[in-house]
This record gives sequence, C-alpha cells and structure tokens, in this order.
Amino acid sequence: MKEKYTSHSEEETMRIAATLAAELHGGEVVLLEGELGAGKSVFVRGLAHALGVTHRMPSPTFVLMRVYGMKQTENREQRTKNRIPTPSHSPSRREEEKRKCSMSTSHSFAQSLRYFIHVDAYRVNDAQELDAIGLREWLGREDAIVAIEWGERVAPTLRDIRIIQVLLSIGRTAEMRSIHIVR
Amino acid sequence: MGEKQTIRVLGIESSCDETAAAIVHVARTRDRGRWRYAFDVRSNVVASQVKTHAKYGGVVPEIAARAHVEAIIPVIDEAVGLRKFDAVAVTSGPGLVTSLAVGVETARTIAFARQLPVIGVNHIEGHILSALLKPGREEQGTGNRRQETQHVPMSHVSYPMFPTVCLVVSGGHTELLLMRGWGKYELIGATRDDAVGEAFDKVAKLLGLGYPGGPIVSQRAAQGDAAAFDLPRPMMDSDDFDFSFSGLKTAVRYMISPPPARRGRVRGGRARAVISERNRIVNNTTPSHSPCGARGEPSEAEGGEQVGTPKRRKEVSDICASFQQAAVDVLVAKTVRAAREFGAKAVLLGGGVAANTQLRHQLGNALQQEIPAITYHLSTINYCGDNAAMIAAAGGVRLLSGQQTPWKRLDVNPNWELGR
Repeated sequence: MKEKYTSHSEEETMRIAATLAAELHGGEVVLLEGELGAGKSVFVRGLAHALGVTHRMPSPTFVLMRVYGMKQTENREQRTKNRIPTPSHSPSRREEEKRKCSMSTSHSFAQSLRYFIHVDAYRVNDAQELDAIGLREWLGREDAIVAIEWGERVAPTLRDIRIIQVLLSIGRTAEMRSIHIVR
Repeated sequence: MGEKQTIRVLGIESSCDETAAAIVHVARTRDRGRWRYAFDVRSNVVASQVKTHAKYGGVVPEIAARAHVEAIIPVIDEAVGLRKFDAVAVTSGPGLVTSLAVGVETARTIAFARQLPVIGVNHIEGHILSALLKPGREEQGTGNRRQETQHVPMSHVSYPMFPTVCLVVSGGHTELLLMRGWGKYELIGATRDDAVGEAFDKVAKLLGLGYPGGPIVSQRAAQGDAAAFDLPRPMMDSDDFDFSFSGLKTAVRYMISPPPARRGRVRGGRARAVISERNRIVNNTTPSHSPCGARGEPSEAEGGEQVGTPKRRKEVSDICASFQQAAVDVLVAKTVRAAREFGAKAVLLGGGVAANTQLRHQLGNALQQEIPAITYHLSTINYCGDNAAMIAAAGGVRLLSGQQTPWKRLDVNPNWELGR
C-alpha cells in the first residue's frame, strides 16, 4: 500500500505523521528516507508527539539512539475502563466520544504502547553496529515503536518485522515536501 | 577559612571520539559559609580520533569503540606516570554507549584492583567545570601534539558566584543550565533538534568543506561577510530557553541549492555562482546526496580550497560567516536573557563549540554591555574539547562532598540528562 501526501509546512508534516501514528499498534519499525533537510526529524517528532511523547526530542545523531517513555494517561484511562465495566450513563458516553475524538486526532489508542525509540543511522556502517547500542532488543517489541532516520541503511537486516517506509523529498518551494508512506 | 581538604583524582573520559585521562588535585575550603574549590591540573592527556573519523564525515561508533580500547591504557599510563591518586572519576554519560563502556569498565577495574573510591560523572557537568580550570602544570595531547604549558598556582583559580547560568555547546549538546550551587543543576533550556556543533558539521558537509565542521566553518567565516546572506535566527524571540538549529541548516541548504522550480530565478548571479561551486564540489567529492555514496570517500579536509575561483570561494566564506553569525546571535541572546531572568552572578561557557572565537567574544561583549556586574568564565581553548581534566574536576567536587558510586553499580548511562 502506498500513500502520497504533499506538505506545505512543518506543522502539516507533523499532522501527516499523526495520521500514520493513529494506525500504529506497536512492534512496527518506521524507516525514514530523504536527504539532509527533507524533514525526517520533523516527521519523527510528529509521530512521537501524536503517540504521547511530551519530552523534548533532540537529534539522536550523536548518541545514535534515544528511548522515550510515552505519556500513558490516555491509555491508562482505557485500561481502567476495561477492567471496571462502567454503567452506561451519560458521562461515560461523553468519555467515549472524547476517546473517539482523540483517536481521530492525536493520541494513540494502542493500549500497550510504552516506548518510542528514535534512531539515526546516518553514521552507521552496517546494521550490526545498532546491535551494539542495543537497538535489536527494541525491534518488534509490541510495546514499542521504533523510528529510524536514514532507514535505508538498516532495512535489509530487518527481517520478520513490520516495516513502514516514509520517503521524504523536497518539493518545488522551500517549505514544500512530498511524503510517500509505503507499507 | 576552614581546613583544606584535598583529593587527587584520576579522570577518565571516552564518551565520544576522544580517549582522555588526567590527574587533577581538587581542594576545597570553607569560606564565609560557602565551599570553595580549587583545581590543579597535574596532567591532561587526550588521544583524538578526529582524523580516523574525518573520512566518514563523523564519528563511527564501531570504529570509535575499537580505537578507545587501543588508546585507553597508554593514555592512562601517560597521564598517571609516577603521580599518585586517591580516587577515580569517569564519564558515565551522556554519550555513545559503546564508547562510554570502555572508560567505565576501565575505571571500574582500576577502582576494584586498587581499592579506591570511584564516581560516575556527567559529561555536561565536566564541560561546565572546564570553565573553572586554568591552564596548569600539564602536558597537552599525545605524541606530536605534546606541549608544556606554564603552571599557574591553585590560589589563582576564580570561583563562580551562584546562581550561575551555564551554556554548554558541542557537537552533541546545546544546553542552558542554572547552577544554584556546587552539584546543583537545573536544565532551563536545550535544543529541540540539532546541537549547534551538529549544525556546523552539517553545513560544512552541505558546502563540501569536510569534517569536523566547527573549525572549518569558523575559519572560512573569518574571511567572509556575516551580513552577506539573510538567515533566520530560529527561536531567538521565543519565551523559553530552548534552541533549534535544524531549520538554520535547512535554510543554508536552500541558499546553496534552491529547489528545482526556483532554480531558474534565484536572485542575482551571486547564489548561482555558489550553486555551481557546490555542484562541482558535489561532483568531485561527495558523489550523491545519499550519505551511502559519500561514505568511505575521503572528504576534502582542507575546505574544498582546490575548487572555485577566488570569487566563488568568497561566497562560500560569506555563507559560513552568515551561518555562524545566526547561530552565535541565538546563543548569545538566550544566554543573556537567562542570566538576566535568573539574576545570575556569573555565566560559564564550555564545550567544543566554546572554542569558537566569535561566540567567546560576542557573548563576553553582550554580557558586559547588558549586565556589567556579571562574571564571565570561559573554558580555555584546550579544555573546550572533550578532556578528562574536567571529568576529574567534576568527580573531585562530588567525592569531596562525600558522594561515590559503588564499583559494582557503576554503569554507562547514555541518555543521562543533567539537571532534570
């Protein structure tokens, strides 16, 4: 499946990332490809933000990998709800609507998502180096989403893992980006 | 004045691409209710891998770890010599996990074998305290880089008055911290994307100037006109103390290579000339936009000087100067504002990018103009880059105040954030 978007601003790129975030269940690896300045980091921030990462997200170029915990408020609410069946009076319906709302906008509704892993493979010679920094243990974990910039470098080694490719390229104006999402 | 306590610390640093060891004597005295520390650097040895990584355009983790393993024992041997030490301090984060591990395991082994206290030190705290180190009775570098510097007695060391605003700028960090006392830090701002040194590296890469970008870009900037190009000052007027340098890098990218549709109608011949120089540079040295193509290709270390007419070279210098000025403007504005807002009595500047002449001067001038009473401490050039003297100093302060890390629990902490 392939989707094509055109973004006209960083904010729009982040919104496009949020629509992808809403479809993630956990265990996926998002590979970002595109030249310097194409907007890979902006897309990753959009993704992470939509999944509930509230932390500042500096570039992982230096340390290669950064692990973020996700804000669990939304999810915890749901878990409690699942465990304790609530009687069907009006506040609950309001809650339900609120949840539906958040589904369509920014928050993750995957219950088990707890970690967001931001990786930069720019300086990685071969994917085994990412094993040395401990990436392997995050790949395919159901409670984690992994986003890898310069993902084409490690793609061949990711067998048996759900991969979503995000290809970014610079458009006709300084702000324009075309974004292809392939899964 | 109370009694003086002294500790002799072996510092070890291996968080990125420098393997370093140092012996620093840290002394503290109690003076009018406040602790004062004095640092005497007895030896300071740094083995750099910059040349090894230059051909890859950045630090390659696997190669870095291997180089650390090879260098660490000779470097420690040279730093220690016949000198005695009472404790070991090692950078345990933040940094590259594979690089950090080499230093941490070595420190653990020394501490265990010699039954000495050991402490894991935050690299950023080291950079902050580097501003308080004076060039001491030290030997700088290994091999051909060795040079003796004159010893300055410990009593000449100046002390920061708290609260202090600390700006730490390097290839991996751009952070503003508030220091309320020794060991008491509060992170008040940081980059939301690229570190400022990373932006220098990326701009150097875009211009085909080689690696590391900081020294090359500032060298070219010195020959350029900082007002030649109008670049953004990202987040300069935002009401927090965060930074963003990713957009600045992208703006430079547009200056040298506008997107296809605009390519025909760029303003004037000026930018076009730059494009053609860049295209030639790209053709000669970095065969494609993809780093896969560039990888393994030796970069043009001497700043692509071999291509372009003097006029075109001038334009690259102008871009470097304009970029550097934009970055310095933001750093200076935010630091001065933080100093004013928190009523700081002193400002400390440390980290690799603190070696940038324009940043050193312009921050100093701005502080003098805006807050004349403030003290400005800045790292001497040889303590700006990663070194172990700053780690020994930071470790010494903590050890003297009774802290240590049990050797069994000493571990790497690649994402350790100071002041959070």
